[in-house]
Amino acid sequence: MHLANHDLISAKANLRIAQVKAAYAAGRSQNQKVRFWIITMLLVLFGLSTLKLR
Amino acid sequence: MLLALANWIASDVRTFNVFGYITLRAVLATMTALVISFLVGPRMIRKLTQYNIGQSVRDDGPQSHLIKAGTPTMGGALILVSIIITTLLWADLRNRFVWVVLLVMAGFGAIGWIDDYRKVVHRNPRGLSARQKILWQSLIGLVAAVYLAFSVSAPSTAQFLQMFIAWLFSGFNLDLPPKADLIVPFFKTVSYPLGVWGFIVLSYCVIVGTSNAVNLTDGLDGLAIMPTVLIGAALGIFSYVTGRADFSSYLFLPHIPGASELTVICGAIAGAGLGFLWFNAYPAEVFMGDVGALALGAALGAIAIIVRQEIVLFVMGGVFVVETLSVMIQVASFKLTGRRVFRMAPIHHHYELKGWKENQVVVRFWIITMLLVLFGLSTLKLR
Repeated sequence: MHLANHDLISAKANLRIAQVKAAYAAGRSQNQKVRFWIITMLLVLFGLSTLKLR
Repeated sequence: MLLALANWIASDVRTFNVFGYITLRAVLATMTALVISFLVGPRMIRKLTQYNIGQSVRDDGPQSHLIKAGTPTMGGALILVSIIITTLLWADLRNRFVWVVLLVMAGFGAIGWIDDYRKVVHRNPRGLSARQKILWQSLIGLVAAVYLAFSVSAPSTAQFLQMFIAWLFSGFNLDLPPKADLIVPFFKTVSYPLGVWGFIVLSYCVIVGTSNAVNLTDGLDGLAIMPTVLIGAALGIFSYVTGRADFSSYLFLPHIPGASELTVICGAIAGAGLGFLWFNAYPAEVFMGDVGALALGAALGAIAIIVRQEIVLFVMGGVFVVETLSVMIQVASFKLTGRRVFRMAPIHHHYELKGWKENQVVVRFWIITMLLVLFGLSTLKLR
């Protein structure tokens, strides 16, 4: 019974995530853009760390 | 903890001495905080969604925001967990400034957590009342301000106690050394002596004000977190310089022994913030909530006080300042004249209603913050 409840809650959660994702679908490319910026920032940080780490 | 371990191993393997360098630990802290955010983030978002911890959206706000109703909130807990674990791992835990910043951050985070929890889980729209909120914020802010007034001035705990007792027995009338003065940017020799009371009042205003300003700014996806990351990183540079006798003397800054260790926390703030932005970027999968906004603002305020850069924080946090002023002006104008100055406050909503897309507002505010941070950093040399 407890397990069934848990499964139901998980299913609801997954549905909610899917709904949010679908609702924001138009902005998806924006999200990817920012994520690529974050990756670039990290690579820059890594590059700058070579100033000291040698 | 890892520093203590590295020091212990370094007695046998000298290579481990490299972990003594603050710059290396700051970079490692940034990476660690980021990895923790990436690992914990998806699970936390799933849990928050499972427990139905979703954001309610003001119905008088921009229509485009109604779609965000139900998006998980309290994601700031992810940032705090990430920063605290990282700091405990990489920072020198014997440093008192590290503990002050951690405790202030955790304290304000707890206030935000209770407020969010009551609003979202208990479905109590009022959450913590404004009076209770400001009471607890003031309590933490004042305790931190009193502690910092003496610990910034005294390099050791013994001297701190000596100075504190002297203040008590002098009838609360004691001058602080010049390093506790309010530094005026762009001037080598101009600084304003605050005295103990002035220091306490200013520090209180900086901690509580920054905390609430970040909270007001947190209204669009990614709007608050990126300026926090940028300002955190800049304060990291200020702390490193202020803690080094050679650099601070060269740049005409006060030397605060121990302040360099805050670079590690600043690295953790930047890393955790970027990790959170991964999920908070438009379209956000999670919002930080008061738990994150109040805590991060208070942490930035406390760091700025320790490195004696309150005015520079005010400049670099220009976006936070303008957001706060827009609310104050709107409320004052409406109460006094019955008219609104902005279409909606805080000011990011004003621009949305003027026709800017949410993303345009966010990225433009980021660009402004980048320029302000650059301007703030220029005060290191231009004086």
